[in-house]
Parts: sequence; C-alpha cells; structure tokens
Amino acid sequence: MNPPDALLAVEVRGLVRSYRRGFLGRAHVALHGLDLAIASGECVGLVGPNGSGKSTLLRVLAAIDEPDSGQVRVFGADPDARAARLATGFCPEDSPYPTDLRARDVLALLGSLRRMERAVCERRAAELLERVGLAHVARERLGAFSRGMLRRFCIAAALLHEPKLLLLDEPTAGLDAPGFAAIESLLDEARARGTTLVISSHLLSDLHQRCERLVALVDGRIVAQGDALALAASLGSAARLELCFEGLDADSIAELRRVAEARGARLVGVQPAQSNLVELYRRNAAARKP
Amino acid sequence: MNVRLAALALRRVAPWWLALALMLVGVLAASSASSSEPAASALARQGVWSVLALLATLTFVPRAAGLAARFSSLEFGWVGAQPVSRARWFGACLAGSVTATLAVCALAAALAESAARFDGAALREVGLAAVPERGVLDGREPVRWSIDASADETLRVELLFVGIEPTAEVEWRARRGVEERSVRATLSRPQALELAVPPGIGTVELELERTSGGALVLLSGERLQRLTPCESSRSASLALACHALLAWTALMALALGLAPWIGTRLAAALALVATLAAWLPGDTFAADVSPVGVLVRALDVAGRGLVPGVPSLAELACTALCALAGLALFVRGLGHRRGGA
Repeated sequence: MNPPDALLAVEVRGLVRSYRRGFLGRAHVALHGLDLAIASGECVGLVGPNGSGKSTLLRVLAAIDEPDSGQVRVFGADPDARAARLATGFCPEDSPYPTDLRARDVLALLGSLRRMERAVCERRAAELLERVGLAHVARERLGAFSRGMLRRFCIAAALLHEPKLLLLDEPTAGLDAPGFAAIESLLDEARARGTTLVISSHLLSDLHQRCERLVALVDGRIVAQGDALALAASLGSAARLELCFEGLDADSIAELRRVAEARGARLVGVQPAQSNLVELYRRNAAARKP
Repeated sequence: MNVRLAALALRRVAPWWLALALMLVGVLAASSASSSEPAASALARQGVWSVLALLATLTFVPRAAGLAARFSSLEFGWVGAQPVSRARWFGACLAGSVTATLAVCALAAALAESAARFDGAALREVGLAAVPERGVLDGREPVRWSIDASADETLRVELLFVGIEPTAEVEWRARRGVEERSVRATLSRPQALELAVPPGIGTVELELERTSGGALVLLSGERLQRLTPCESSRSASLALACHALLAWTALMALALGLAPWIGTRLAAALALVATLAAWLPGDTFAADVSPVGVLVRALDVAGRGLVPGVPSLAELACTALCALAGLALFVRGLGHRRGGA
C-alpha cells in the first residue's frame, strides 16, 4: 500500500526519459512511464541489470536530468527547485568532482554552494573524511585518488549537508572491505536520523539487509517490488537464499546440509563473509602498530 | 555570487605560465626602450600592450570556453545537482575569469610603464569629429567644415603627403565668433597638425588650406581627434587597461555562453572571430562600439603618444550586451544538457 502523499519523499508518476546516442543517433528510451512512491524515512533498493534505468532514475531525482514527460516530486517539490536540491544528496556511479582540486577544497566548495556555514562545513568535512578513511589525503588532489578512494569521497560529499534524501548509485562498487564497513556505518547513522535512502545496485546482496523494499527494474520498467524475501518467493523453487552464520564448524555445516536436503532444498555453497576480511585487516593493522 | 566557485574559475582560466610570459615581455620591453623621448616611450607602451593583448586574448578566451564546457559535460554530474541557479553559476564563472584578466591588466600596466620612460604631460583623446569626405588640398579651394568643441580642447588631424613636389605649406584655421586660432606647417612627409580651439561658445568653423607648394595634401582617416590636456602620459596604460578589461569580458562571456552548446574549440573560435570586425576598414561602428575594436583603436592612439579616452557608454553597453547574451546562452545551454532526446 502506498503511503499518504504528505509523507512521501519521492513521488514519480508516468516518468519517461530518453537519451540520444550521438548527434544523429536514434533516441533510446531509458525509462518507460515509471510509477514509484517512496515514503519519508524509507530505504529502497533499486535492482536490475546494466541498462535497466536505475542510474537514470536517480539522476532524474537528483535534478541532473529532466524527465521527457511524467511527474516527479521530491518532498512535494520539483526536483529542480532549490528546496528539493538542498534536501537531496547524490552519489553518482563515477566521481564527477574536479580532479584538479584537493579533497577538502571540493567539500568546502560543495558546502558553500549548499549554503552551509563555513565552520559547520569544515567540521563536518573533517569528520566525514575521517570516517571514510581519507583524512590523511584530505590535502591531496582528487586526480591522485584510486577508484575506491573516489567512491568513498563521493559518499562523503553526498552526506556533507546531511540531506533528507540520499541517492546512492552503486555505492559499494570498487570498495575494499574497510571502505565497505565505513560506508555501512555512515548509512546506518543516516537511517537513524530519518534519512530516506534510495540505493541502486545490480548486486542483491548489497541491498537486501538494508532495504525495506526492493524495486526490480528491467528495460526501464518496474517488474517487481517488495521485500527481499517476497522478491525471492516470486521466483518459486528457483529462488536462492543466503543465510549468515557465526561460530559454525564443519560438522554443523554438514548437519545444516542434511536438514536442508530433508526439506527438499539444497545447500549450494559455503563461503566466508565479507566481514571476515574487515577483521583480518583490522588485526593486521593493529599488529603493525608499534 | 559564490566566491569559492569564482576562485575555481579563476584558477582554471589563469594559467601559471602566463605570469612568466608577462615578465619576459616586460624584461624585453624594458631593455629595448632606452630613450626617454615621448615618441619612443609611446611606441614602447604600445608594443608591450599589443603583445599582451594578443597573448591574453588567445589564452583567456579558449580557457573560459573550456571552463563552461567542462562544467556542462565532464562535471555536470555534480554541477547539475547543486542548489545554485545557472545564472549565479555563470556570474561566478565570469567573475573568476574577469579577475584573472584584471590581474593581467595590472601587471601589463606596470610592465608597459616600466618600458616607457617618458612621464610628462600629454593630450587625452576625449572624442572624435567627422571630417569632409573629400579632404584633398590642391591649392584651389580650402576644405571647410564645422564641429562642436569646448574651449580647453585641442584639435588634431593627420595629413598625408603625395610628393609631386618636395614640400607643401598648409594653414589650418579655427574660428568661433570673432575669436580665431591658426597653425601653419611645412609638410614634407605625413604629419599631424594640432590646433587649439578658440574660446567662447557655439560651433567652431574650421578651414584647412594649402597655401604654397605643389604637392597634394590629403586628410588622413575619416575623423578629427578632440584632445584635452592630461597631467601624465602614464594615464595611457590605465585607459588601455579599462578597454582591455571590457574587451576580454565581452569575449569571455560569449565563450562561456557558447561552450555548453558547441564545445570548447568552436566556442573559442567563434568568440575570437568577433574580434576580426575590429580590423574591418572604415567600420566606424566596430571602432566606436565593439570593445575589441575600441581596444585596437586605443592601442593605435597610445602609439601616437596620446592618452586614449575613457570607455564610452556605447562601449560599456556593448560589453553588457555581450555578457547578457553569454548569460542567456549559458543558462539555456546547461538547461539543454538536462533535457532528453
């Protein structure tokens, strides 16, 4: 059931957006009459294969692209309106920020464009750079950053003014395990503040733990939406589920496999979780400290 | 206007090597101008400003275009999401670009004046007046015309000399009511004549006549210069700086506006094509109104040992018009970037 209009962070009706590839190229329709409502404070994941329209939808919501037709509202306003832009933080898939500027200078510039007080902006920028593990390169130019560092920087830039709506396009692409953990923690805090999150990813594993609702896009159309289990259930017997355990030994895993097979299911594989890598890095870093 | 954004524009428009190039031009000019004669100083001043005007135009205009093209293509992902109007965005870009040119103007003025040793009194051009279309002095009829000028002004015409005979003697008279002033000169080469305006009010009647000698004398150019005394010839650099600033502002505004539509190279080329109008012969509109045309003429005036006039209302209005055209193009260009197929 859709939430009442007053509580909507995002409202999209009949959204159509097309691109032209090349000067004389044919128009490609990226979004075909999309309808979507996202409640304030909700966390929604956009899933779909490459070219399904996830990034296009986020760019329209961030007022970077304009719809061809249809209605888009962000907190009741046109996304291009100043109030809506101030309420929105956008982290694009590739860093668009000036590579000739230092990280802290870009954040200072963004803060001034978003009318943040200088002292508040400086404090927030320092805190965010620390949190995403870039404090030591704050005075370096973005051109010298690796892809993973740029990803972390983009998320820090999107969070700088504590937006009410955070749009993240493939936020974990190219991130190492500590970076992933840092971003997870920042997103947890944003959720706790009541920020509405819209996260796009083609990896379901990125989204199902965080998002209350997943929206599956294929060829610019919404093909399914609901929570992760509901989406999986819609696939029937072809659905796969990933469970996370701590403290299991080999015997316990064998026991699990037997239980699953007894119920007509199949344990497809066993692999260590990403968080193991974070712990590994943390222990190594601690051991190297004098 | 956002100061940080303007600072980013300044940083991107002003290349680091420009300061070095300016210093080099200054050193060369200072070492070559050994004479403290007014004419040598005027030529030294004109030389430094001409080189710098060319260098700065070819540097700043493409870089301003590149600034706008970069914001509207590579960096549109963050530019487009910011809560700043596109008009303010343009304002900050233009302010940063103009600040870069302002610094160059200040440096150029310092270099030109260090190269020009003469700092005595000079005449400042305050206006132009028309001369008769057929200004040929063949000894038969004097050339007569009238102008409006105030009593403290000096009039100046340039005469060409066609040497059928080695010399020609000319007399130039100005009459206002009962007051009369005149000047005589023997010409053996192209030469300028200067004549003080008679006191009083009303129209000044002018008469130019070849009084002896068989050579043909022609009025050069289409206009007569009206001049007033100026305390120091160094004011020429200040006037040139003002004209250069207006010319660069107009060109950079156009480049900023065109770049989101047609890219850096074409935008810069198109804006620079506008400067060609300054060299069109007999185009008084370009010379009086177009900031680039006025700059080219001001350089010519400075080279003759005169102080160019201050920017006219027409020149200011033309610069403002170029800035408004650039603004409209920039705003529409970034808006167009958001649109679909």
